Amino acid sequence: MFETAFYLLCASLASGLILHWGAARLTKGRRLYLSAFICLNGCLCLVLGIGFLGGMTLSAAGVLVMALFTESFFAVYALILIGVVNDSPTLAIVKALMKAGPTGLSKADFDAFIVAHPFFRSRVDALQATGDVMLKNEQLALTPRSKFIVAVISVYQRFLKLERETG
Amino acid sequence: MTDFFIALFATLFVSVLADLMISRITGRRLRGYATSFLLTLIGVPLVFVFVLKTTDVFEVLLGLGLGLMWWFIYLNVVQAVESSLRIRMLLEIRKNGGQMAADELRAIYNDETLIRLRMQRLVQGGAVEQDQDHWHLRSGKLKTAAQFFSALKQGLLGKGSQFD
Repeated sequence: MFETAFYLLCASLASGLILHWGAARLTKGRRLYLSAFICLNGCLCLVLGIGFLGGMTLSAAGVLVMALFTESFFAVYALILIGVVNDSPTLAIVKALMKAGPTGLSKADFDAFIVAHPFFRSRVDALQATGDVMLKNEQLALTPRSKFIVAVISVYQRFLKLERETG
Repeated sequence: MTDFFIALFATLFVSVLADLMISRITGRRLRGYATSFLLTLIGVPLVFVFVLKTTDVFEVLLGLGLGLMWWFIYLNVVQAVESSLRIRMLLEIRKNGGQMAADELRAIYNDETLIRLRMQRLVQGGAVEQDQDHWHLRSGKLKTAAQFFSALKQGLLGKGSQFD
């Protein structure tokens, strides 16, 4: 059972990734996460369908493992996509340093880099887009969902005795 | 099949517990992450072979794949909680009673302070070297990470930066 599930998963995940790659290029990254979910799960259904029509035998437990594996893979892939879509300040600096080459990044170039990378605005926009922050009396306010999230995070940080930083 | 999942959850539970306890006791996050990763990587195959008595290499491979993916999800969630700019902004708003002016928040998390602090950390960590007027990249690992994400961004979105 596990051998069949393993090979089917290899086929469905590889084809799902290739399909998503093409879809993302065609749509220029619009609905990136939804399309990843559809491509990976669509390919899983397709591979299973072809397998069963071809006379393959796989127990319900095998299908369950394959489905769970695919959803876990989607979660991992989505987490990587977050890093792809949103520039990390550290990696953006590294890219600027790489672009500068052996001469190094000058102070003037670094100042220009800061102006060209409005991280604060992009993060506030993202928080508003996901519904974690809303404008209330011209102020940024937490929503019930984000209130719950930060309450849980505060408990976690107190447990680990983490200090908050500002950059 | 139930044993398969119980073994996975139990191993992950031990890994996460080890991470949290090491972090709380030593205050070193990286040590906790590394320990929990190794516990998952070594623990899942050992539990499958010696506790479940499985002889199916594909069962072990699928179990290990699931275990490592769940560990990666856990790692990303805790890292976001501990260092994500968005999370820290939400915590700052909460500290101010649940709402605050964007300019007040910008005063704390403004782009110049944020980027200069990150550069300072890179210099302190030895990843970047600073001479008189220039900064030079010295970390091969960071270079590889930047190339990896740039290639993915270019391939998927057809652009090199979200600010392009």
